[in-house]
Amino acid sequence: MNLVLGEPPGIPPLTRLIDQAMVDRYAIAAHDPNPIHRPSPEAYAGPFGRPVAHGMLVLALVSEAMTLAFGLRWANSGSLKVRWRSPAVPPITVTCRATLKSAHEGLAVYDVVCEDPTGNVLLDGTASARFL
Amino acid sequence: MLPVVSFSVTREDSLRYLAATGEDDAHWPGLIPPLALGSLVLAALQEEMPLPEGVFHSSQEFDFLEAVPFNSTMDLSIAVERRAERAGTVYTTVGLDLRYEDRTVCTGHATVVLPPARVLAGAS
Repeated sequence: MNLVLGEPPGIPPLTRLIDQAMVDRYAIAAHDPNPIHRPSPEAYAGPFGRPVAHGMLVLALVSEAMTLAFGLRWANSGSLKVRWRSPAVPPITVTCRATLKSAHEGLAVYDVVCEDPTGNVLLDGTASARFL
Repeated sequence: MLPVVSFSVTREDSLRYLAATGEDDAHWPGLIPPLALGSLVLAALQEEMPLPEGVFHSSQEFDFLEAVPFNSTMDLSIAVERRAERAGTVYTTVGLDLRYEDRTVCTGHATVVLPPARVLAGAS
């Protein structure tokens, strides 16, 4: 955890490979068996034309980055507001970046983005938590 | 407003989630990771409101107000807040309110999109 008294923490980039095995594990863990997330006729006929990772699995990188920076404060004061911009087709290496947007009265707000190695944005939005 | 749904998250549920996402479980001794809670809230939502084939998640908001211990029974209220159609695409926003021991511990808004058949086929 990076908390320094009185200052909003910096949040280092977090990178992870999302492959089909990880997507399959997530489908079980999150009770989300939607066939668009696995090689299936529904995925190939579906909105993206191929299997895609769960958006919430991509979002998990943002939550993990906030956990590493804020610890328990993330669970007690965290907020997320994100929009998925493009599908994550596994295998894909995803990097989450967070840039401090504002810090006021103990609340730090970050612009967050998850992108692939080419810079294609998979999701973006804001995340915030209290640092005081 | 749909009926209130009661559910709980076990340590095993939480560990399964963390193993799937790759997050270190050391950060959450005895507590449900916030986005694990969020993911399982969405699963409960899908049980109450089964989604048609082809629907995808387009945006999500969560406010995490209080960490919740494993095995706690929570009550989830779900309400359809907005439903709109533009050019054949249907957008639905659902509000979520999760309570534990009479306190709200998590709120959220999930927006899902049902595109016109095959409009997005082949999108990258």
